[in-house]
Amino acid sequence: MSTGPAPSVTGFDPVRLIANHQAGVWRYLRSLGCDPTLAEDLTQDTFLAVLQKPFQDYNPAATASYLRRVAFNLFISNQRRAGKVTAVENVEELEAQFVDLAGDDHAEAALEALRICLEHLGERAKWALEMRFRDDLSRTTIADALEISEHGAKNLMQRAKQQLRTCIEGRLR
Amino acid sequence: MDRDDPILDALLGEVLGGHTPPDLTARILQAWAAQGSNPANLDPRLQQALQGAPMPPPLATEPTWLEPVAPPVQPPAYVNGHALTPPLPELAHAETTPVVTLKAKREKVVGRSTRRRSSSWRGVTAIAGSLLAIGTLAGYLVWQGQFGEHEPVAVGPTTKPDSKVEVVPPKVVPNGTPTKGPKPARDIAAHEDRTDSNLPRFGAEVSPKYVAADPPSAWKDAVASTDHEVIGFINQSLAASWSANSVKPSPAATDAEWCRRAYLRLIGRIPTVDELSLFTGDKSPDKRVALVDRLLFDKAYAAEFNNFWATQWSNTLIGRSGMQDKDGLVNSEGLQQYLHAAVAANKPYNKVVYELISATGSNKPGEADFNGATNFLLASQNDKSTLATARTTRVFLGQQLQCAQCHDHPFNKSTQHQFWAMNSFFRQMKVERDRRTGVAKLINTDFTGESGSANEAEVFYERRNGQMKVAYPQFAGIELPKTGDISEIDRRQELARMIAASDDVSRAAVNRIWAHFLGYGFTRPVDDMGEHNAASQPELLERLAKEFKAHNYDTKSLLRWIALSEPFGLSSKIEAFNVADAPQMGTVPLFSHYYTRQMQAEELYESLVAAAQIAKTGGTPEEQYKARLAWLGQFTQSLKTDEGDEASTFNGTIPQSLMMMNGELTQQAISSEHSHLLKRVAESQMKPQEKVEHLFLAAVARKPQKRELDIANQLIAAHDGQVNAALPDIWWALLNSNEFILDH
Repeated sequence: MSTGPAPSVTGFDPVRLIANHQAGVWRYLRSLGCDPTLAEDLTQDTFLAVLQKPFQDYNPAATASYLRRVAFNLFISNQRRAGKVTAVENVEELEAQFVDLAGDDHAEAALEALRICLEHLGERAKWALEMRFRDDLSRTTIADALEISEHGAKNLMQRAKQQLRTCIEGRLR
Repeated sequence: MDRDDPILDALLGEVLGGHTPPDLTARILQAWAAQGSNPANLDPRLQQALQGAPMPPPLATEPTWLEPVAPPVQPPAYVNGHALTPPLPELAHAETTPVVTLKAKREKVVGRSTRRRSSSWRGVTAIAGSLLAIGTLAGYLVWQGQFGEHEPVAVGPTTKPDSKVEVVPPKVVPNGTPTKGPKPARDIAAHEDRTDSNLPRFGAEVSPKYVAADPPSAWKDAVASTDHEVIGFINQSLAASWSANSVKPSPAATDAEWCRRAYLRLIGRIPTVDELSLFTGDKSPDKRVALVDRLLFDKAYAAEFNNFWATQWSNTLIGRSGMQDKDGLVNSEGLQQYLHAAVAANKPYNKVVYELISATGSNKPGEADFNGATNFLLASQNDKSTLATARTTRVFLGQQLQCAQCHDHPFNKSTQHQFWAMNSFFRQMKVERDRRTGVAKLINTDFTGESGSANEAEVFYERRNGQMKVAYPQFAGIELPKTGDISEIDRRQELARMIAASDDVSRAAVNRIWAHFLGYGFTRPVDDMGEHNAASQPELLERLAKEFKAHNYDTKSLLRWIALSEPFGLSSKIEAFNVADAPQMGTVPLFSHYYTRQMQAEELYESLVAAAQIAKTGGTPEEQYKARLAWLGQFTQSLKTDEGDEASTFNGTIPQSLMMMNGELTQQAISSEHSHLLKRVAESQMKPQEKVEHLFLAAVARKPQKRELDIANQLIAAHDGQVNAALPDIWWALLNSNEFILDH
């Protein structure tokens, strides 16, 4: 008589699902324009929605895509309830870029690349971005701090982000 | 602010702003637990969010042959150390209502039991009866140790579940482990050694010129094992699975529980009090073996066994709605006759498959060329025989090919070409119908192909990109000649032969019958097998399928193995050490406890009749059969889709509740005029408590708890101490209790 079968636990595991995908969903919602608190709430709602319908988690990419779609729908509903008109210009393009950048690890590698690329950024550009993203200052305030025009501040940050994007993509390739 | 690069903005917010993704696991799980399992509780906006999302393959979607009604998803009390508050008081049994506090449950049950009687004193009686129903449920829960003794399962977030689970050796089921004792009498000698070369090759003696080769088999020259060996393998295989998955099996079911379960699964009704007493009073060590053999082979149960399994077959083949469709081509008596005879003769399963697929003749009994098997394909007639294609592969091969009609299947390896290659086997089929007499005849005729040439009888199909493709008969890699000339090749007969010889037929049958007994198959759904939907216990499925084939597709052998296996004999009570085995929540079934589920409609009907001992008077067996069909028909409706789907309201809905509370069958069951049980108990010399006990044994196979007796006594007191006057109310409450309708 042969021995019993090896473990073959497949199927729906809520904890594993959440652990594996919550960061990706949260980051995707942030990409859509959610502030951190809203992104948390909508991430929770996303998982609550999918947990009602257990499914076979056989392909991480397929599951991540499914979760992003649900998250997107929730985001739009939220915007509508708030009476906001949100132009998510091209959802498919954003989705494709997110998948490209986030890869299989929900953007962990991209984050690491960003940290390294920031080190290579010019001081003023880096300072501008810190004021924007760390201190949450307005463009006017940033421009005053840099002693440049508001338009100049905008250009500076745009160029900086383009540099970072190029650097990150180069590192991830 | 600008959104020129929203993704990079988000990442910068994380790196520079410190807004990192939080760990929401505990919060989500708590919210899930608080939400409860009722999909109706789902926030409408969450429901809306699921619309249009490209959903991965779901688990357990459409109802299958014998699949129980799946209760809603129940969130766990804790998962991997993440505590959920509040801790759920019970995780035990499937319910059709959300998890709520006990008080709320009582309120819900009371809310259901607001049936009113016409006169004032009967109103009091109805309320008392409802209290008894509540008390019965409460007593059942007490009996299961659900409150007062239950230790909270929830743990703090820092506590990890105990991973040191001791390995439990395979358990010996008391009073039923089959020994190497004398072989029981059988209708057919199924234990002769059979090899592939001995299996009958169907149709070879009557086919036209061409005979296709058999598909390759993984079990060439397989030798049949003894029943003892097969059952032992089931037990050991699952024991190893439990150990590997760190669960322990629940204790063995009591004799009464097991007896009730065996009767339901084998002959489709609960045991009478006499049958139950006979079994529980028997002290012999192999009484479970004896009972299973009695139910399978004893002439006393032959009629019930044959009726039950013929009905199970017909439900699988054409659905309940197919049997009730007055305007369709099916003659339900004809199909029932054929299936009844096949079950009675214990005809090898693969032979039945062959006959159903290759059948020709008239559908109606009494016709010169009557062949009841034709009703299967007659029920599956539609444009281009696509329904016949889908049903044949789904029912007999356990493969859902219907999606591939229009495109390559998104999840499994089925292609559009496969679908149409299978479909081309059915293109020689033709139906002739006499609308005056209602007789429909299934015949074979030349198929000239869609371009008009019998020599190149092709089937065209269109790809999604508009390209037209062609398909010829092909199954399991075996291509048939392209001709559609019936004198040269009978395509349907060849398909029937090849399918009957294929290993997948055995696997699909084993999967279904396992699901019938244990509540879940090795795959979910049971008729969607393949690489994309791996079996939960692949070795066990494979071994059982091999043995089924080696035993010449003896269905009774398969029933016997499963009925006498250890998992079938386990209690339905969920313990702390197997709470992870929760397939109703989407996990893989480990069969470490019996999965409670609601009876099927037919089982409920027969159980009501048997429990109340309602006389089946007023008509021939066919008329009684029609009366039962009519009763069942109120719950089932065909959706008229290409897949032959049907909708059922026999799943805890209001129509079902109303039927149980006020329906004609229930009225008969509680009336002394129709119910021999009530009449007998009322006229007996039993003491009041014994009378109440007798009703409990008849309905739920156990004696009442003290609390339930107290409620019954209150009910009797409400009838001025006249116990016989209170019996119908007590009986009504029992028949309307959850415990009666559940297979546990």
